[in-house]
Amino acid sequence: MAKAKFEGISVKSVAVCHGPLKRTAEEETELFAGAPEQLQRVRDFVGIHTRWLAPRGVTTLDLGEKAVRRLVAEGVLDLEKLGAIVFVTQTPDHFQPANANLLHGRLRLSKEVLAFDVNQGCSGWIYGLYLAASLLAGGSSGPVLLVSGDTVSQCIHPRDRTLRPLFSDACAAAVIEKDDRGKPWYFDLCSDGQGAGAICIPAGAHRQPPGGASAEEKTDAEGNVRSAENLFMDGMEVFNFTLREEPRAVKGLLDWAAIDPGEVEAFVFHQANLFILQNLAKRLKIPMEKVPHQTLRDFGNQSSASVPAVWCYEWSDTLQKRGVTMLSSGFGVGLSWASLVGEIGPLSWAGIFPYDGD
Amino acid sequence: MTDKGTKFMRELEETLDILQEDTLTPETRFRELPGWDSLASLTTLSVFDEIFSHQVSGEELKNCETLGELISLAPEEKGQ
Repeated sequence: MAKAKFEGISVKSVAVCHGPLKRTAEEETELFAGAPEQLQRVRDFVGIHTRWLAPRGVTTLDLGEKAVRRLVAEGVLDLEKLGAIVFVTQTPDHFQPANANLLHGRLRLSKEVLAFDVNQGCSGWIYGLYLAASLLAGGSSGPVLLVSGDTVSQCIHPRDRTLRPLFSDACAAAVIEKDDRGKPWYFDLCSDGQGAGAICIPAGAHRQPPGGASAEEKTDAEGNVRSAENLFMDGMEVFNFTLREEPRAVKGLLDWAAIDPGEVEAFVFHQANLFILQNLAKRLKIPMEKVPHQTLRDFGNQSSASVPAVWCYEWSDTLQKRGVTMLSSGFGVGLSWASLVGEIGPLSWAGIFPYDGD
Repeated sequence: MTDKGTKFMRELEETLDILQEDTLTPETRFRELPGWDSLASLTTLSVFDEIFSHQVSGEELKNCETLGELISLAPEEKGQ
């Protein structure tokens, strides 16, 4: 495990922009043709009632830009002072150049601002905060703009019943800066590359180029359709991985930070699905009241934007009033998992809103 | 089979809404139960881990025909 402690660093403001197309679980009927009770079962199991999708043509970069511009409009982000942009995504506009550079161009930022992308998914928000803290500790000339999200729904085959009811599209933006009053942040970041095949888009990049056999649609034993260019997830292996690693990592981090679990007001886990969250709560012996999951119900799995979405949806009022001792944790593709425990807030602004075009 | 094996079957009946109380036995061919699906399989992994503190892979689960075979994968059930 890679642990790190930072002092004197704070999140100042957070915005999440989600896809504009609302889809309720009931609207998935064509996926579960002739089996409404199955649809109900899936909904209760995954705990997702509403998802918000970005149509083709609206990308993570577009959502991210909206989130950043909202922070500017609210008067909580001064673009001229920025020192760096870190963009966490697995659904960039291009292989080259990076989303961070494209955003730098759209925002017409100074050439003194460094900008780069990070390829992480569900653990990505914590990786981004860790990198932001590292840049600031290393002498960044100004605040770090962390932008983090994906349009995972666009990677899923429309007839994949296991994945389609889960994922939404969203991108978060946050300003992280030096703050003498900032309480300590404790991180734990881990990887298991041997498990990489459990969550994977096999084709479409350089290993297996797009088109031809890569685009060929196949139906699996359960009747799900996908090609090698679509997202694949081995649900059982991912479930085992999460229950094997997450409780251990969370306990280990709290021990190392010498923070009593009772002091933690919220355990903000990546909003994967309700079954996973309930299992984590049970293994860690924490009540579900301390494990936010309304964001999951109303927005679905938003990849690396899901943790900030919880901050902005379920904790925004409190976070705008005072600091909150939270444990935030993401886990998934890589395989990769990362947690941060410490005080978040008070934030000068926090909000979540749909993409509204131009 | 140990008491934990029995506890595992009772817990599974309670957790899975497609099952009735006291219906599972080591001979039950679980995959053939009405309504059995991938969600039921995931729930089985979860209850197994909870009771035996041992993880079964998706592949191992797929190779089990009966609940008895599954229960025998728990280290403490070996030789029972």
